[in-house]
Amino acid sequence: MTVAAAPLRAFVAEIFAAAGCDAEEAARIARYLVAADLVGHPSHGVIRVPRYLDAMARGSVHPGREIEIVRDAPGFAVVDGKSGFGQTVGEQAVDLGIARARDNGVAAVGLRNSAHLGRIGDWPERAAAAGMASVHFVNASGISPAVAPFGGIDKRMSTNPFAAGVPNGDDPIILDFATSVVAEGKVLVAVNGGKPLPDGALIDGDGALSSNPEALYGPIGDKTKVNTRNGRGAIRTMGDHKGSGLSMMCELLAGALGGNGCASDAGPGVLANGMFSVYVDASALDTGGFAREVSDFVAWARTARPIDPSAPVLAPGDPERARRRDREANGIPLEEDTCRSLLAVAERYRLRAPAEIAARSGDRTSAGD
Amino acid sequence: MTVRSDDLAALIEAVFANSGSAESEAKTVARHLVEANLAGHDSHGAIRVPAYVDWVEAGTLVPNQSIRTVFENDAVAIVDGNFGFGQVLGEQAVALGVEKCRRAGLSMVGLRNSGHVGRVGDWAIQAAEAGLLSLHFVNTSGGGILVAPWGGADRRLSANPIAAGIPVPGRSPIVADLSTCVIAEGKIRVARNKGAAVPENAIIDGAGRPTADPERFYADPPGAILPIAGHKGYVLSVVVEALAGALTGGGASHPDNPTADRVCNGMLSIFIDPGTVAGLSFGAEMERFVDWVKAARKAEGVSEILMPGDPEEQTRADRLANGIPLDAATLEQLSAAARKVGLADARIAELLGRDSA
Repeated sequence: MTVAAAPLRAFVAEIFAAAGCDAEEAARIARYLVAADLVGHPSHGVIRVPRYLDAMARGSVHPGREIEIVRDAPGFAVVDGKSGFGQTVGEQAVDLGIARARDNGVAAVGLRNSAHLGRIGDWPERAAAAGMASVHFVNASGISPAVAPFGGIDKRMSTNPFAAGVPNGDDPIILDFATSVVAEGKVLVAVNGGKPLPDGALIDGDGALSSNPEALYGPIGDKTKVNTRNGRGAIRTMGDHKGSGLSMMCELLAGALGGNGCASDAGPGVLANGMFSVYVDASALDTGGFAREVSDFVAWARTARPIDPSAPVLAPGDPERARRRDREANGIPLEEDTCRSLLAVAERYRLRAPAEIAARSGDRTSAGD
Repeated sequence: MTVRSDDLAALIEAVFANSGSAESEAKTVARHLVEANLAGHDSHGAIRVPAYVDWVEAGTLVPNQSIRTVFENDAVAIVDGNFGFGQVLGEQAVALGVEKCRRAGLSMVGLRNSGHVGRVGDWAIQAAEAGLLSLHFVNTSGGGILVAPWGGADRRLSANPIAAGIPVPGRSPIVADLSTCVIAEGKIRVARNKGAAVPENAIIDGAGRPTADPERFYADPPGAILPIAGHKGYVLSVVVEALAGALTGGGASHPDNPTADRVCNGMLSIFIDPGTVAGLSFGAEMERFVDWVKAARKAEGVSEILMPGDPEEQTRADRLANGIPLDAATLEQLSAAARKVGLADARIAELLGRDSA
C-alpha cells in the first residue's frame, strides 16, 4: 500500500505547524520532505520528521529564521542561516543567488549555519526552474565526520554532496551525489540486514578495504544506537583520489570560504550544513544557442546503445522525474517503520494521520479518533 | 633517459618558433608542456608536440591568436580563441577572469574554440598565484569523444575534466584536477603498444562488456572508456558539456559539430576573491583542516596523506632537480617533429644539452 502525496504533505505541514512553525514554513518543510520521497530519496524524506522535531525541541533548529548577509560583494555574498530550517534558509540563499546572477550574469552565495539542507538536488532544481545553471558544494560541521581522505583511515570529512543543475525545458539536467562511495544511510541499511555494501566501500581501522559496517560504527549491539564515533574506520571517497579531491573542495569552499567551518571531531553534536553555490544566468549570456545545444546533446547521449536492452541510457535527473511521475499518480511506498514513527508524532500532537499511514504502521486507529 | 626541464623547454620553443609561432607564443606553449612533464602528467607534456605540429601544418591549429570578446559585462566574459594555441588563450582568459574578479569578488570567463588547453590544473594554479580560488570545466566540441554514458555502449563524451584551485598562504595551492573518466586514452594506447592489459573496470568493448584488452577498445565497433564512479562521473561529465560546451557557445560534443574534426576545447572558469570574506576565518580554518587531514592514520602502503596538488608538487621538485624522464619513443617523436620544422639533428642535440656525436 502507498501513501498519496497531497494528504501526506498536508499532514506533515500540520505537524510542523503544531510544533511551532508558521503555516507558510510548515508547508514549505512538508513540500521539500515529501518531494524527496516522491523522487525516490526516502533518506531525505518524511523519515526525517521525528529528527527535525527533536532538533526543534532541543533548540538546535529554529523556525522563522531569515538569512543574514555577513559579507557582500556584487558577485559573492556570505549569508548566515542562524540555525534556521534548511528548507527555509536554504531556499532564501538560493533565491538570493538567483537574483544576484540575474543582475551580474554570475553570482556565488556561501550559506553557513543552516540546519539540515535536505536533498541537495532541490537547490539546482530551483535554480534551473529560474533559468540558472548552478553548482553546489555542501559540507557539514558540528557532527562527527564519516569519510576518510584518500590514503587515510581516519574520518575527516562528511559525505559532502556535490550537486549541479542546467536548465533544459521540462527536463533540467540535475545531478546530486555524495562524494563518498555510499551515503551513510546505505551503511545504516546494511546494518539492518538490507542491501550489503559494495566491496571496498569502507576502510577498516587497520587500513584494509571492507564492506562490514562495523568498520564505520565499531562492534554493533543495539542496531538503533550505532554511532560513527565508535568505529575506527571510515567510508571511502568515490573514485579514489578524485572523489577525495571533490570532497576537500566541499570542505574548503563551504566550510572555510563560506564560513560554515570544516569538519572536525570536536563538534557540539549539532549539525550545521554549509553550502557554497555558484549561479550562472544562461539566457543572459547566450552567445551560441545554449538551450538548443543542451537539449541536442542530451538527446544524442540518450541514443547510445544500452548495455542492458531493458535499461535505456538516461540523462541526469531522469530517474527522479520518472519516479516522481509514478508516485504523484500512484502514491509513495513509505516504509512501515517510517509510518509508525509518523503515527507516534501524530499522537503526540493529537493530529489525524492519513488513513494509509495508520494502515501501513500496522495500527488501524489513528490518533485523532 | 632524462632531460633537464630547461633544455626540453628550449627544444619545444624552437620547434614552435619554426612552425610559425611568435617567440612569446613558442615560449608559452613550451613552458606549459614542460610544466605538465614536471608535474608528472607526461600525457599532457612534450608527447603532444608532434600532434600540435601536424595540426598547425593542417591548419586546424592556428598560431598567434588572441582571445576575442564575444560577450562582456562587469563580472562575465565569453571569449573566442579562433583555434589558437590553448596555452596562450588559456593564459589570456585566466588573466581576464582575475582582473574582473578583483572588481566584483567573483567572475566567470567562458573560452570557446580554443586549441588544446593542456593540463587544466595549470589554470587553477595561475589563478591561485594571483590569490584567487577558481573552478574550471573543460570539454571538446567533438574531437576526442571516447567515453560512454552510464549504461551505454557507444561513445558520447570526452574526458571532460574539472579542476579547482585554492591558494593557501605558506604552502603550494590545493589543486584538484580530475578527468571525469576512469583512464586517459593515452594509457590505453601505451598498454596496447606493450601488449599489456588495462586496469579492470576502466573500459568496455563495442558490445558494452567489461574488458581489460586494449585491442577491443580500438576494434570495430569501438569500445569506450567508463566514467568515474559509475553514474556519478557520467552526470558530472554531462554538466561539463553543458557549461564548457553549450554555455560558451563552443558546442557540446557531437561528431557533426562544425569543429568536430579538430581538437577544440571549451573552458568555463569561475574565479572567487577570498578578499571578499576578509575578517572571517577563511585562512585559519583552512590551515586547521589541512593539518588535521594530513594527521589521519595512513592506509597500507601510504607514506603520507597528500592534499590535491601535492603529488604534482613533489614530482615537480624531483624533476626540476633530477631532470624529466623521457622514453626513447617520445624523444624520437619529438626529434622527428623538430626535423619536420627544419631543425637539424645537431641543433636538436645542442638544445637538449647533448653532444651531437
